[in-house]
Amino acid sequence: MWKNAVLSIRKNVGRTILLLGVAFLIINLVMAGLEIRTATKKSMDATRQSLGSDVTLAYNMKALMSNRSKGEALDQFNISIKVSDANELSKLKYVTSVNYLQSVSVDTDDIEPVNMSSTTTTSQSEQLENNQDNKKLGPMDNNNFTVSGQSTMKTLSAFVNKQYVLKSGRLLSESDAHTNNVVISSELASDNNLKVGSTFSVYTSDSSNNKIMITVNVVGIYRVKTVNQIGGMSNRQSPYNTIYSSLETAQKLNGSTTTISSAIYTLDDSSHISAFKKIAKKTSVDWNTYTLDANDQVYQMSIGSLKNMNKFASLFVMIVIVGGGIVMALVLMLALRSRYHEYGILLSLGESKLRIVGQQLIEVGLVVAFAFMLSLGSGQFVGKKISNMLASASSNTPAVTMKIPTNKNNNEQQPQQKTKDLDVSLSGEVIGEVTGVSVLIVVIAILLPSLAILRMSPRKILMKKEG
Amino acid sequence: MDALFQLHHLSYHYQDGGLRVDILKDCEYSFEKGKTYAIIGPSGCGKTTLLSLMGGLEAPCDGYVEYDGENIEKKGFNNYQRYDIALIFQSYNLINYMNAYQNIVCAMDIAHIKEPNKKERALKILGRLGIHEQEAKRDIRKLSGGQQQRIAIARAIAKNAQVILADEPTGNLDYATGQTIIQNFIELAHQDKRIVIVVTHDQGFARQMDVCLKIEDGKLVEV
Repeated sequence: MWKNAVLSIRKNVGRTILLLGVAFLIINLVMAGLEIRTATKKSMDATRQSLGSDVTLAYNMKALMSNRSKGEALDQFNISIKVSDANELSKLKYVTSVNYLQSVSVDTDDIEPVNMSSTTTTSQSEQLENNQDNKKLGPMDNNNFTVSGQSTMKTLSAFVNKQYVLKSGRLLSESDAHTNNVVISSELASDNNLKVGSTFSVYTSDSSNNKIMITVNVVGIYRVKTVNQIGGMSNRQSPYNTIYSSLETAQKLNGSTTTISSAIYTLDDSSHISAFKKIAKKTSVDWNTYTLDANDQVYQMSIGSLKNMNKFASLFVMIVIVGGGIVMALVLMLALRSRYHEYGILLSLGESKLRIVGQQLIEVGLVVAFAFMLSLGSGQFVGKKISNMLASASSNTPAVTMKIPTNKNNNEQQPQQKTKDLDVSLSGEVIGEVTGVSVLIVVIAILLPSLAILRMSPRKILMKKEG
Repeated sequence: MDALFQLHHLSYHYQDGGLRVDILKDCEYSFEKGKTYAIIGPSGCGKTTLLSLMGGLEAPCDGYVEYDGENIEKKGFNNYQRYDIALIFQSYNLINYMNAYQNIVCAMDIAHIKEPNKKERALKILGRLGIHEQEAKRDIRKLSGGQQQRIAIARAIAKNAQVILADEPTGNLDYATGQTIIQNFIELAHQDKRIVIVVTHDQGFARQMDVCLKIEDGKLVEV
């Protein structure tokens, strides 16, 4: 069977070259499609990874806005999250750590705020300030400070991303729970001659207008490295006037120890975000009130064109597989007509029909394998060319350059992923997939002609020739 | 009587429109080892149909062909063709992308012939039939009709089949080459103790065979 297949390939040069050409073309196209699909998938994963593996549980503001009555003020809603709900999610799979946050607007008679109207921005970076601490839609007071309480400061992205750096003292950790230790900005410290070890009092009022006052102790001073002036930023919204405290301190000032503003869950891997969201939806948490966010809006905007390319590549591969299989089958059926006599001879010699089909399979398999080898050299080039064509086509569409607010503290805005930067390379995964696809095409291409072989009657074939 | 190959009430007909055309009717015959047979008859009398039935190329409408005590249909046409018979056609039916010895080795492979050096054996058989090594390696399409027919015979010999069925084997050949082919068949039957059955319309050829059979009104009769 093998011997005959090799002989047939060598002697029927014209047919072999035709088959090789068709197979080479199909494999190159499949390879290009799969390379683009893999590259876009990798880029999407990288984008997801760059946005971190944090998922924030927050109040569903969208639902709140659509549910409120006309003219109803937002401060009439209690937009806090129950700690019991947040705890339920912290026990779910993939969660490696959790940080609860509580922001509260406070004032003090002991220190003066860093006045925003006299503070100029020196940074030229593309950072966008949207402090998580400032999300609280509390009463529209005239307080000048925000106390931002959290379980730990270690995972705060502004510190992790070095937008804020510790100047002296230390950051707060789990051991600071139930203490009145705070970390303040260097500007606030210098304006008020505060040092590590200094104390001052902050206060707020509860719903019954009772004053809640706490004396805090400065244990750390941080420096704000990058921040943009955003027109209309009040003193309270300024990172210079943010006082980081333990969660319990902020909760006390807020007047409730059973609620928080938000919870940030750090997962073991960013690829588990969707899975985490899925299992979270099955918990008893009221998802009409709360929402989970993993910078989804930024992610979706960043991967827009990549997603389109990925979809196109998948569709392209499917079309090439089906179309290629049919074209190969037609070529083989045409070739088969000229080989009817040969099959008749083999059948009259006692060759089984299955072995004749097997010989066909080997012949086509060998040619496709050779085309595959050639494609290993050219596939990457073709893939790059096609991805460049797609990239230039997508670049004709105006790019979205708006700045997107994120949930994270001073999170860096993710630019839209450039499709030209795609790493179109021949990976082991692609080679494996192309091998599978090649086998599939060979099987499709052999199937139809094989049916004709299996229906053959040697007498009819041979007697026709006998005239 | 050493009957290896027998026809039992063999009948064949086909439908031509609404009309039934009987080709063979209740053919009965026993072929003996070591003999040559010629089957003659006018065109359209059913000679080639009979050969096809004997070769297992198609099934009879009635009756059966028996080889070595077994109905060939039950044995399986494929197995029967592979091990027990060899067919030789007027138009040689060689595989054109193979040279002479490759055609023979291919047939030996199909018949699962246990031979340490199949190529050597193929060249030896071809040599016996007057095809030299140079010719055996040449493109088959560049050989003469006589040479191609001898290669077809060599292929039949190489298979070690006990029954050789030939359909007009000298039809395309000149007289001298035809005679050589006839001598090859006679040697195969007499020396190798095989059954050689040749369908022919050539009376001269038929006379050189041990037994001459004729299809008359669909029946097979000895002349």
